Amino acid sequence: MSVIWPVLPANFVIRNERCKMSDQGPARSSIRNRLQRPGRLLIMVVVFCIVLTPNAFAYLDAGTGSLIIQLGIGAFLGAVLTAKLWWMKLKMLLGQFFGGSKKDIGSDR
Amino acid sequence: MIGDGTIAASFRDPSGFVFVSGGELYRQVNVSYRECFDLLAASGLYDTLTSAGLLVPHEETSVPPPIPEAAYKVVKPERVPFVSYPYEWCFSELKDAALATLEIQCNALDRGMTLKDASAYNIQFRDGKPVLIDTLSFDLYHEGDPWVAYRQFCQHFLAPLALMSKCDVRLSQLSRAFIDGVPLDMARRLLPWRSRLQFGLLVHIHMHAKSQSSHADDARADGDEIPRRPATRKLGLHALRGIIESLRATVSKLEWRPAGTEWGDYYDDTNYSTEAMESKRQTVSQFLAREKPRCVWDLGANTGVFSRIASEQGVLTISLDADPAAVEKNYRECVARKRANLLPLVIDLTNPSPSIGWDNNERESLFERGPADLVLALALIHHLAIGNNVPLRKLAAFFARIARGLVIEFVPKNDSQVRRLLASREDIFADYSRESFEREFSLHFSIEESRGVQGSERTLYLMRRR
Repeated sequence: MSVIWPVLPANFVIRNERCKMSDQGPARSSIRNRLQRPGRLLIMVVVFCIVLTPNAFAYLDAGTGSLIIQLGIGAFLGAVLTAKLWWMKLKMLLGQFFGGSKKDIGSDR
Repeated sequence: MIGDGTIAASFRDPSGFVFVSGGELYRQVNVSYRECFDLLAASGLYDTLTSAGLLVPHEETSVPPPIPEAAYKVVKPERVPFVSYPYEWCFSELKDAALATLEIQCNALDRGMTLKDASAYNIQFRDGKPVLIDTLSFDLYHEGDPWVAYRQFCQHFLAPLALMSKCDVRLSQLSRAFIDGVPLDMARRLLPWRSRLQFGLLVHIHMHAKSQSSHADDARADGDEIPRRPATRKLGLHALRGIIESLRATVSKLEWRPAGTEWGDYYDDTNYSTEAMESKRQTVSQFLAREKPRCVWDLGANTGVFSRIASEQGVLTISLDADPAAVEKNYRECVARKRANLLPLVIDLTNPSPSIGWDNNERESLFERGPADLVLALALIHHLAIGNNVPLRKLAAFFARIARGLVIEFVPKNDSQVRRLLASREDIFADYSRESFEREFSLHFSIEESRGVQGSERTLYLMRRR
């Protein structure tokens, strides 16, 4: 997938209470064991960056994949929107400039 | 509706529910939704959307709530005249509903709120335009949150529109099979490869589906029972607006032009003379003026030529046809002429919309939405009796079930259209005659008047249910 995933934020916070509890026990030692294998460290980081779910809950299941794709495409589409807005402004200015000239010609007649 | 008066479809959202009391429709708003409900009004979003015709207005009432311990308020929403469903909409109806949803979301973001769902069933057609009927669809927007309804929007709107546009318009019927919208992995497989060249479809369907399948198991960590931990990640407001704008641009670019289907050019391909057509118009118009119905269903309406006669008399007219091209033409004409009381829908009478969803009770069948004050069944009976082998006795019972009044055209066997239907098959319809027709229909209806259509062998009847 040609998406540049954002890096792990500095204020990474675990929000889910059930997950907090699970981190106290065997799951944590399991992760430590994995980290002892250097080849897997990079994979773990990449996987974590990709699978991190945004903290958005609703009465409907928003879908993990559907939330993650938004994080992947949001910055780019936001930039596209900015470009569109600037382009519209530019077109409006050009329209006013040239439209105004035509109006002047028309009024001369 | 179920036994306690609550509407069967209104059960998912804990914010409230819709119920019927004394024949009127009400909505209980629960205490848990208080903050959002108050912000809807205080932020000006309610006024903005209702004045733009994008949200049904409501008024607060003192009607006792069905579940008082959970209730914050009871409101009485304006009732839409006829409830229709996405699988009954033509391409442009679904597209307009999608664009309305995105416009509502843009307005909501402007006012610090967001749509928490984007179900196509929350949109209905009122005065010829799509309108949101679920006042409880709004949630507080928290800076950084992605759009929780993104998946639902893509499944309910974008995927069916893309499939209708790029594959086959009849794929709208997938929405009937998949009540929560077309699964994106299915849409991805069905769409042609070239759809990837359209950036919006590449991102919102192909990549989105891939992301869904890649993270399908993320709720469980490494196969154990512990859900993977959600963490705070931010999607800026401008980025979110970028996604909404991208969806809007993608939907706007999707097109479908009706051409080459069965009935789209029916009136260019019939044996109607100008005289016969004018005679039929006049008779239908006079029958309608005499009966003064409040609601007409025009069955087998084609492009809505006769539906318009009813709608021009100020009658709410539901114009049904099985052909998506005919319905598309009808809808475009309604939009162009700003016809507020005509709703074209894609419904095949040989297999009309059933009750679907949870408990087979979530979305109503066509019949549950009737009966109509008056049904127009013009140039239809031969298609049902001969084209679909339905005996006249069953047809009469069918019409008695859905119509209080009936304007029906009998098309005899010597008519060229019937001869065409019989051209490639055995004539097993010995009982198909005007005499049998009158006998069977008289069991359920009183025949008020019958008139021949000038310049043809056909006869128009005005009947009232006994």
